[in-house]
Amino acid sequence: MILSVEKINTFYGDSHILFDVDLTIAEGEVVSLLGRNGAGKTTTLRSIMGLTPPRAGRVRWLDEEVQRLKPHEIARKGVGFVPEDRRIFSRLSVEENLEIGAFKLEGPSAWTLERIYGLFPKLEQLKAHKGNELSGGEQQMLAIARALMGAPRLVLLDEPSEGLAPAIVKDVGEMIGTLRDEGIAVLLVEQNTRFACRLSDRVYIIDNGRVRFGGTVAELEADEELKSRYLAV
Amino acid sequence: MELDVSFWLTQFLNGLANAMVLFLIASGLTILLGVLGVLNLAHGSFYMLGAFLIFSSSIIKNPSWFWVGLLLAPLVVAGFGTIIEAFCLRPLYGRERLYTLLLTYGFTLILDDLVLLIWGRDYKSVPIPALFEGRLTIGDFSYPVYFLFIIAVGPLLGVFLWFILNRTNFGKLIRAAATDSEMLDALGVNVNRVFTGVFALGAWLASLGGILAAPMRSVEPGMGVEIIIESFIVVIIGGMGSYLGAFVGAVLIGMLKAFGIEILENFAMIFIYALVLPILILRPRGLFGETTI
Repeated sequence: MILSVEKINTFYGDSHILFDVDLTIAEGEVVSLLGRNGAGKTTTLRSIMGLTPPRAGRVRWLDEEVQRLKPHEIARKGVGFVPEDRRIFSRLSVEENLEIGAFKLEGPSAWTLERIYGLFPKLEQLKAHKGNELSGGEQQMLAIARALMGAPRLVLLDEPSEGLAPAIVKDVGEMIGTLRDEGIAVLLVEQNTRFACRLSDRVYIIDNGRVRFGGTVAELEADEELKSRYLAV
Repeated sequence: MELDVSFWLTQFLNGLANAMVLFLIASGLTILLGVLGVLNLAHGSFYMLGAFLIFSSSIIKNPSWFWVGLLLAPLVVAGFGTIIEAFCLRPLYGRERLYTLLLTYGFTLILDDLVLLIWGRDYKSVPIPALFEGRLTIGDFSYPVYFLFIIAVGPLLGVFLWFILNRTNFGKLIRAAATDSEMLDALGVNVNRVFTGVFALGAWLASLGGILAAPMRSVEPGMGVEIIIESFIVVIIGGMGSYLGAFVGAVLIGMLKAFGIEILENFAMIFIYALVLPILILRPRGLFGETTI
């Protein structure tokens, strides 16, 4: 396993959000975390990233416990983070946003600006534009590309399809396909079940801060009760 | 009443020279506010330290005293700022802003007393460096060369700052941290180091301001508190986080003071507040403030 989350409990102040959450991701695997609004999906990603560290439980990266590390230390292990709302640096140009993504790397990287521009030609056209001049779809593309610049082995993707037109959602799906082709593992948080299932090897369902299901896409598809109970279909 | 051109020109240049010093203090203050969200009340104390250090270096009887001081003193003050940020301010970032205000206010008191202890209470004057002694005379008009030097240095440092912010990796990180420091952290950048760097840069600029101002004024404890108020007004006028705003704000304040004194001798500050009021009402984020922070 590249990442194992073992019985983490996470709080915001006094509110207990995650209860004994377990999940694993193997090298190169695309795993989705599904659930309704407020189920604890984003909190799970924030816990893994060290942004809201769990109070109990373990997060294991390869063979190492990382739940006490700072976000930048976890990022440097090889975790890319694409948050909800994309969080593009609005006052930086597209190219500067990409450069910031590569800042943590010490040596030369397989992910150069040229390679990113080759994969996402749109970004090259926009490279001099400021972050706040981009459309939602362009921002999503940039957020994923920015994570790629850090040469990740795992990318945490938080609701990449949210608020995007269907045609753009398809583009985002292709980008996630690119990550898979590159052998990068993905933990995809989604409310769009169909979109997530099409891309994933395995699926978890989280509800009220507890993992209710973990299995293959086929297993989930076969269980209508599970879907109607925990997912807004 | 006869219009005395050389008199008004002198006032104009005086205002400009004061504005450049103010710009050095306010630019650091405004970047600090923009990036860390911290109002550093001790920022004026770095200005004071710069002035006292150049005083001490002026005791050396060698014409190079000014240049040695100009090079070394800001580095000393920046190093001191680094220690304050890393050990005292950093633990407070997660808390209410009131704590950092209290802490930095505490440092102004401590540093004022420390300066009294080391240098004593009496007024000190710093000579004008030999290279800039004398006056430039054109016809009837004559003006001190040193003040012209200050007027030239201000824009140069402004360009230097622009270069750092827009053309270096450090500047990229500063601008990114100002927008979203948590995201920067999640991308693998040790944000604390960026914060320390910004604080050190601010201390460096403020002490440079103190050094340049020293030969134009008396050097005394408490000079930091005086300048921090004016600098804060500059930041409010220019917009928090905008160094271009700091430049424009500093020039406005410098001019209002230089000409205000001629109109109402003891009440020049009235003009400053009369300017701040409509700006706060019409553009609450300042002339160059971002619409989103």
